[in-house]
Amino acid sequence: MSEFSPDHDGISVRRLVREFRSRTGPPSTAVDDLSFDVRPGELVTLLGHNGAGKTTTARVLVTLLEPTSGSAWVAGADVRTRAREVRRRCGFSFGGDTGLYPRLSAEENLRFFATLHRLGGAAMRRRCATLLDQVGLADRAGDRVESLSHGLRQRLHIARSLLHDPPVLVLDEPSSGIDPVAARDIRAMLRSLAADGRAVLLTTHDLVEAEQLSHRVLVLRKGRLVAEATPSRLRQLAANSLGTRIEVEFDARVEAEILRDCPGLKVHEPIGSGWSILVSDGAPATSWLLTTFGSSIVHLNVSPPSLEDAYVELVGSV
Amino acid sequence: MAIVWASIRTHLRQQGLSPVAWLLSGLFPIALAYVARQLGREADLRLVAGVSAAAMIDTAAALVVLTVLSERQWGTLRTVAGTTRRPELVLVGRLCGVLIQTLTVVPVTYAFVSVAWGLVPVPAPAVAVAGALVLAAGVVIVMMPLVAVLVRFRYHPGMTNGIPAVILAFTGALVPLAQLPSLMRACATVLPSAWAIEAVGSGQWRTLGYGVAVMAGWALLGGVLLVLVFRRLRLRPDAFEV
Repeated sequence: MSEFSPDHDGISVRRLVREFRSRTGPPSTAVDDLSFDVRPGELVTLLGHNGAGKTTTARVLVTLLEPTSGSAWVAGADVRTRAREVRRRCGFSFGGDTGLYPRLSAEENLRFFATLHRLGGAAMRRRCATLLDQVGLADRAGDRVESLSHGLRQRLHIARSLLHDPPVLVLDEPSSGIDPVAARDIRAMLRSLAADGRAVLLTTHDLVEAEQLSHRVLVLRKGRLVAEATPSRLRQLAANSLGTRIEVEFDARVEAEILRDCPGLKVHEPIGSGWSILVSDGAPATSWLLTTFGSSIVHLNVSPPSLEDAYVELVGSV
Repeated sequence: MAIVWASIRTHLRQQGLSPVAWLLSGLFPIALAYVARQLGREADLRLVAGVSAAAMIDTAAALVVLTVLSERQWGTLRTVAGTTRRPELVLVGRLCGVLIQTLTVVPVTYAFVSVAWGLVPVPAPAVAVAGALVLAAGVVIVMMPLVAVLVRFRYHPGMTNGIPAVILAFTGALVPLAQLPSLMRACATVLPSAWAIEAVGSGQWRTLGYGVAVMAGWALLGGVLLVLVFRRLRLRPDAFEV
């Protein structure tokens, strides 16, 4: 039994391990010694390849799977010993086209799941109507789920996860497979959920989404946490390792020899009337270029590594 | 109770008008009654009870399998399991919905036999009505272990194919229990439907009471199995997978 006790009502995970036994071979470890926190008002993203342990972690947190060892607390309740309390205070969505009754309407689905969250009567009807309105499905409330698009189903999943107004949300790839406009709407929705003071844990493959939404990003590799930082910090870490690319064009020819004095220069190659150079740190190199060439620079573009570059650097090609 | 009631209501909204249900609970007993009569069975209450039982067994098995596999395929059991209510209760509600669908077999059979071969007298109407209810409930409750198997073994729905035939053989639905070998008669005592058929035919409350007691045993067994299956499911990597 762990003696750890969280100091907040979000998500606290300590040394979590989830193994799966195999009949034919040794047990496989889906989640390995994982520790992290998601505080109220925070939106944290779990990133990782398929099989990195994101969904297993999410399932443990919503009590669909029991941990092998370690502890996980959701809204102040231990997932192992107070599973019912966790379910009462945590909403989840595993997204996709499953998890809803296709032959019932959107409203009937919400009402059914509201009953499972001990809502009833006029309060339940009001709650369902409010949520349908909140996720932009009020005009499709009577339509069968099977007739809704993937994006609309994702919205309905989010509405369902909010039925009991939980302080903690675990969302597994909420915008996967939907068009950019619908994805943008869902992101806005997720941002407002965290702004309301909820602790939101998101798993996604979408690095743009992770970068736009997350206060922090957790990168998993083979079940282990390999990085935990803000998206900008992750980019910075990647920049230290990968370098920053600067594209600079001049109004006159500049010889390669001059560029060799650029601080932190790693690689330089000609492009058009200028150079594409890779430096270890963008700031001093940019400063040097501006000081050295001044008004002869007609174009300057500094590109630090994207979150995608940082992610690939961290998890490699696994 | 609210969750069971909601589960019944949504079950009937989704499956109530399914062609499989109407075919099995509407046309099947008519065809079966016709065949039984052609084979020399008397057009009496025992025929109505036996044919109803046979059609109910087939209807209940098909609808139970359809219902549970749909829940798995839609991934809704996973969603339900993440709420504060027990998923077992949702499945009990679904079984009650199947029971309602299955019950339609009795009036269909009675009406057909009466129209085709003359009004069937009902000497003890109260026992007959209660017997029909126990018959339907008994048939459905015996399916609870089947539900547990379907929830537990996600790739094995095929293993359920032979179950209706076995129950049908032992329940005395088409062949009166008295004509069955003694071993089969002994086996039939653990099936509530066998007692219910006897009770409807003989009009005896005591026989029906035995049926209710046996049914309670099956309900207990099925309930325990479901609770165990859901508890174990949380340990499995493919728990609630579609």
